[in-house]
Amino acid sequence: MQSSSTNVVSNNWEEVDSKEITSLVTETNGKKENILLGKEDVLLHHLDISIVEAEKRINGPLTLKEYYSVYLIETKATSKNWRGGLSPTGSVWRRYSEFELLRFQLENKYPEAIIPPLPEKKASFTRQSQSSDNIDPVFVDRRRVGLENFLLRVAAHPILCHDQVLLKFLQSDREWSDLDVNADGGKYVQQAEFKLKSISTALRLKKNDDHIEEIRHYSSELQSSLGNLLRLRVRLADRLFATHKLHANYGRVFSEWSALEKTMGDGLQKAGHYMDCYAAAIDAHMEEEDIVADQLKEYLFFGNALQGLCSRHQMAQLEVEKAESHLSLQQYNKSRSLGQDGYLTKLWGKWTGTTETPDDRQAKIETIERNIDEAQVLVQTASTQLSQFSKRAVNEVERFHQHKNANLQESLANYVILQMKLSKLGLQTWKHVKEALEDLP
Amino acid sequence: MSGSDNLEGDYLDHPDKMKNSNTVEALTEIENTGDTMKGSFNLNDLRDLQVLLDQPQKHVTPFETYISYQVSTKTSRIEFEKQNYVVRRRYSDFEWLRNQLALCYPTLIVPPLPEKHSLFEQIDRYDRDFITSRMQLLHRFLNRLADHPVLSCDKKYQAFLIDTPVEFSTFKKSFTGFGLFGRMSESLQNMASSYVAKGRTVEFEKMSEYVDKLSEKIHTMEKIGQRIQKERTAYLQDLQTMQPILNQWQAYEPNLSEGLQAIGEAANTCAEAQRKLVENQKPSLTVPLHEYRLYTEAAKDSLRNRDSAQIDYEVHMEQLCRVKAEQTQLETAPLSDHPVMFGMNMWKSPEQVQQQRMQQLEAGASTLAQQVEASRDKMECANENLRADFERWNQVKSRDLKSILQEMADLHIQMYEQVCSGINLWTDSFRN
Repeated sequence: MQSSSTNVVSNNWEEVDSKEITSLVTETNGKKENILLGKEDVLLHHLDISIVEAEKRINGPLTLKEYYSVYLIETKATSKNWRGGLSPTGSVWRRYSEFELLRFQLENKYPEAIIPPLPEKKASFTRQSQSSDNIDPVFVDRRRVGLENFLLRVAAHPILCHDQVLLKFLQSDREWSDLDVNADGGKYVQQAEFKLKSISTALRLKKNDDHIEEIRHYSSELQSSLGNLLRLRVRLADRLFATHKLHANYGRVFSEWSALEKTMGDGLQKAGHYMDCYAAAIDAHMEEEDIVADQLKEYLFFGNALQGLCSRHQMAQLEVEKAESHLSLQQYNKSRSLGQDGYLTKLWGKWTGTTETPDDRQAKIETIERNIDEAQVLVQTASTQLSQFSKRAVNEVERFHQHKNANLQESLANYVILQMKLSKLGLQTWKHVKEALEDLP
Repeated sequence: MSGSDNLEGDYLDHPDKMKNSNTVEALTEIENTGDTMKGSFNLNDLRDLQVLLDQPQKHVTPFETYISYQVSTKTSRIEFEKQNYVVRRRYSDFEWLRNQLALCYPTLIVPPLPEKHSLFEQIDRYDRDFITSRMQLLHRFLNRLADHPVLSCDKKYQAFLIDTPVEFSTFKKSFTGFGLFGRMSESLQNMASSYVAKGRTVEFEKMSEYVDKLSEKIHTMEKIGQRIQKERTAYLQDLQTMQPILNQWQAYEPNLSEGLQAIGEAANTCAEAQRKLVENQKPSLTVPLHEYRLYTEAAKDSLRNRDSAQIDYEVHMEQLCRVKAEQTQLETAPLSDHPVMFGMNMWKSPEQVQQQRMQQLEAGASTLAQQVEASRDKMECANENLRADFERWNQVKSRDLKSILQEMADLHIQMYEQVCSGINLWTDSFRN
């Protein structure tokens, strides 16, 4: 389990003194505390979940090598009273596409839930010095953290955590899913996603739900703001990185120069040494900044999850509207049948030479009425489903906001604290440089 | 100020232009400068000769457009009649002065002038930025001369500081004869660079090696500085977009609003601190470093001049040796060994020829001996001059470079202090 040190940092920011700065330790985003905000009894209270390592594997013949990463999920039950039963310990290897499949299944099963997003498949918003390679060990490790985070969020979700497939995914050695993972599972997911997207774009509802529209609007705003911020962060990080690294050149010049001088040598040598430190410090800073950026990215992807919820709500609403239009069609038929005495109908009957016996008419009206009843039931069920959906969705969105506010507040605070630390380090380095220069004649 | 006979308006560099009435009227201050870039003397400065360069003005005449600078002098030296002088000079006057000094004192390290305006670097030579940095360098030039034990006593320098325009231009004309000589000495310098003095002593060898390497280091530092400046400028520009982005987001996040607001403000303070650093970089670091590179070039020049004095001596010495060798050969060698001469000497007897030759050599040897003597004196003088001046230059250099580096550290410290205090404000609001 990644121990949470982020909280510690934000509480003790004022104690960030020189010693602490020189020994910067990479903080992990151990998030259990951040994820368990509610008071519900959830799986995460009964089970410790962590992804302890990632491994590179090769698939296929030598000529068509396919590299992929697998992640080792380790679980440890902390209590026994959980519906569905827990194995005391579990350790299973899963690959990224299996996580995708799990998420897809959850999405289908719980359309009214906001399913936590998966970390990105391909690195985005990368700094110039970062590798964008899918099998780069640093990237794989960041994805490991992201996937763990996903599992923690799912296990802390009041609805999702009760899912049996999830339990199997976490603990079962054997097949966990009904769908075949390796053969067409992935494709199935892709196709289904594609379908959902095409529907949502083509979909034109008669009457939009204001609340849902609001959520959709919010999610696109969230995405654009976070996107802008992340883009800016990358630009800033690149500049800062280059600035610091360029100071290594001063370090080199100073040390070469010190060899030329008789009296200035020592001071220059020292100053050069501090310049080297200044350049080297940026690496650790950037690693930490990348972690914060990943936290922000998670919420960028949450935007997609919100939109997924909206689309599913629209589908439910579409069902209601379909049922309603079916009902109104039947009602129209009925009114037409009852209005047989109408002028046109008479004309029609005369012209075709058919005349309906009253019995026939009676039978017809009865079928129509039966149809109407059926349609009404359909409308009824679809509407109750929709209203239930809406009610749950409201809860979900509320829960989302609660988490989002806490998490983002913390991530942003961490970002600022990191800048603060770097500035303090810079301040100190330059003060050292100044001291070293005092020694010059 | 007692230099009232030299008011700005009276300034006319070339008397022949007085016919043109446009000149005086066209005296304008540089466009868009509300302030006149006025400088002031440092009151804590206790030197007996201080020079201040400020208030550049743009002069537009039908013939040319140029910038003049006000040169104020404050002195307690007895060779000056008054204590304060104010004159106006333009770049070509500075150029004249430096050329004269370099000619008269070839083996002293004459402080450098900013380079001539180059077509490649600068688009507008009346650009405020260009004028300020040039003024800064000219100011340094005059003060370096004022601090120099030999150069500050030079008549031409003093005339430059105190002469009225008319006096100064007649004074300048009296030196025109040196122009040709100047070019000659330059060609001598070129020759010297291709001819390596044999007996170059270890001492000067070391000096020249040191100056070369130092110049290289300073050049590298300039380049690093430029690249860092580029990155910082881009960083600053990006940082300024932080607040707008956060503000936009704030509209949709009522609960995060305050936090975002505070971060935006912190980002602005940081940007402000960065801006100060970026702005000060040029006058405090780039320009002084650049001046030092030019100064090392000046040191290289005087080293070369010393070398050419040595070469001069060596060439004469060699000639004298050759003559002496021939003399001894003629005295000892049998006649038959002597090469047969044609032409005028055909009908003379070998003895006669030898006799004549001996006389020629005798005369040559005595003039050469004089020349050798003279050039050795020159060389020793040059050595002595350079040795003393290099020593002095070295001390000034250590002091100056130290202060440049300290300034660099100070600027960074200021920047980081401002950034930290900006973020501290944020942490206060974050806790609340």
